[in-house]
Amino acid sequence: MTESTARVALVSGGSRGIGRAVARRLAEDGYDIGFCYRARDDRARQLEREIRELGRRVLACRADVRDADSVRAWVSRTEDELGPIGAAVTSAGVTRDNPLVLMRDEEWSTVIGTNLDGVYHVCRAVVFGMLKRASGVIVNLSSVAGVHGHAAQTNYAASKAGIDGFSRSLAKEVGRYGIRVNSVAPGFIETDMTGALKDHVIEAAVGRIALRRLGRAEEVADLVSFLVSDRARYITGSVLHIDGGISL
Amino acid sequence: MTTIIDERFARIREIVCDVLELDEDELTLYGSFVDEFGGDSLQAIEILSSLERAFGIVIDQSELARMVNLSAVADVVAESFGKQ
Repeated sequence: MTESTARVALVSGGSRGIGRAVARRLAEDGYDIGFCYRARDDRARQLEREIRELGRRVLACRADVRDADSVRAWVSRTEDELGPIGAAVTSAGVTRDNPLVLMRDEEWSTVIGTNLDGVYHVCRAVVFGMLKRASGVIVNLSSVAGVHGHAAQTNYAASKAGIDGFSRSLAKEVGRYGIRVNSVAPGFIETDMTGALKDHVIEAAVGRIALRRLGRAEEVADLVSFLVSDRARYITGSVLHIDGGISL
Repeated sequence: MTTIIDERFARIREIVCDVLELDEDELTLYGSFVDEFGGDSLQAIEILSSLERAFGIVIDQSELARMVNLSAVADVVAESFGKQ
């Protein structure tokens, strides 16, 4: 268990990729976990089993982060069943890559709705309780694409850059109430999302990464674990890159 | 009954003054926390959580926007008691 007194962590997009690794890592750290997922019941059940085997309580809820009511219901149920939320990690994200000239409105709105509105909905739902308790940590997953841009990802990059601005602003807003807010900007990480990329895209990316390999979701989870813990108690409003040096 | 309500109001006034760092004779019934007493919108959260602890009530997040002066805060608290 970390030094934090609150023992419940909320993770959006917990059934897959980085969110899944974060949920598991925070459970290893001693947190009870409330996570939401959109579609994959089988993966959610598997993660529930893994977290229970670690001796922690867990609540998995199907929720659509694009929908404020859905998120409020998930957060409310988590607080009712597990207790006050001390840490929230937003990891739910999607891609709908297309050059802008070909991009359909649905591709734009799905990505902005899930990635950026989703962060707003989750943070909006948890921050009231955190303010009342004058305690809490929020970590929002953004991306190097939001910092440097990426061709065919105007929607994704805009959503992730939005998350960084959102996180910095919220950090300024709530810092004096003992709440820390940071964002983590991963580079190319081995997940379903990068698994969908063509081999030549991956090879080109690896060629630009100083460490010459993709990152692992567990390595991002390690950073989130640190940010959530009291070891990071003087870090807020930061965008922490974890990209193997692709930004260099 | 009147005494209980008076005591409750006195406690509310005390909490508001404590959060806004005012002397009790400075705080008026309808004076805006933000415009007249230099408060900010998030201090309503401190007032709200202090009231919840003091009275053992739960105040809904949606009430925050109403809690702009002492009179409104007293109304919100009274309604919260009514819901119990």
